[in-house]
Amino acid sequence: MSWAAHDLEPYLMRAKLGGAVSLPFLLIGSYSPDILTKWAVYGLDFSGNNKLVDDPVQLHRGFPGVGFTHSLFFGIVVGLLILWLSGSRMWAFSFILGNWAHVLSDTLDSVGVMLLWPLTDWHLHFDAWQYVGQAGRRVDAIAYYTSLGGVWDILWAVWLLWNWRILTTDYFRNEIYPKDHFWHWLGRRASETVMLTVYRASAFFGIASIIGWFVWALLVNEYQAALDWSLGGPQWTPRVGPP
Amino acid sequence: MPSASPTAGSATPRIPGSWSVAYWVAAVLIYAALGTQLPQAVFLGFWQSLPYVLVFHWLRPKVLGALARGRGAAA
Repeated sequence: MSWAAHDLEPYLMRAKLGGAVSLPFLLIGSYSPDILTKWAVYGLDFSGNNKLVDDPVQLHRGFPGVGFTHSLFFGIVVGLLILWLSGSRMWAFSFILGNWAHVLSDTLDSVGVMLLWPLTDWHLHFDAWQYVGQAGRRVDAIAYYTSLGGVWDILWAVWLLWNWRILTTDYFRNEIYPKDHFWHWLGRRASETVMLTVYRASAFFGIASIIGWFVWALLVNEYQAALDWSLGGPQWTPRVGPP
Repeated sequence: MPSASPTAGSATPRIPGSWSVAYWVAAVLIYAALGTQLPQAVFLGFWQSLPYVLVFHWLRPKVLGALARGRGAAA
């Protein structure tokens, strides 16, 4: 799985595609595959000792399970639902793009995704880093941020910082607000400060969590793993493949 | 759209853009530092950052305004 990449990818899509897409719906789409299941995959506490299911990998990426949320089909179905409910092609398209970005990012770990479900439950996985979700959030954080997963997050963070002007108030007022009815709707209910908070929060969280997780994984937690940027790393974790 | 911009004649001095960038870098580093000590309290999902980002937005004109007034008084 990917971590902060899911928080940052939507901003770059918005920067490249302009007014054709809606940032809030890109973000909702990006969060959608995991939004209801992460707590069950990791268990109820940070340590991972309070498991809720016997096979988190099967639940998260398999079928039976909710692995269908990590398929191209799921994004299309929910996108069509958004189109039917809102009438906005921009919102529907944005949801699909955000969802697909998440799905394709998750092909980089060792479990991968059922990309073409329901046609097949075959998993596309590139094994750039190990899937360690079954070990709980604490161990997964250490494994992810000491492997190429952490590099993946850094790439997105650097790309976003290179385009830092998209996070300015002027950019929001002149480029974001006028082109998406979501902000008009929110602006009737909340101040500009609240709108800017909603606009920037995921980018803020993504950048801060990358810095913080790296420091925590390498220096603070009691198991201080070294960086392992080998393909399929880190090598100290158990090998896990598709369910 | 509601605007948070200072109006003409406002007592708030103009805040340089570089100060805003420095402010947000500091805010990110504060949040990251908090996460290194309490990751489960702030790093589980972006929703945990919402109140912090709101407070950082609320504080920004106050902090940078005070700094700008201080610099103006010293000049």
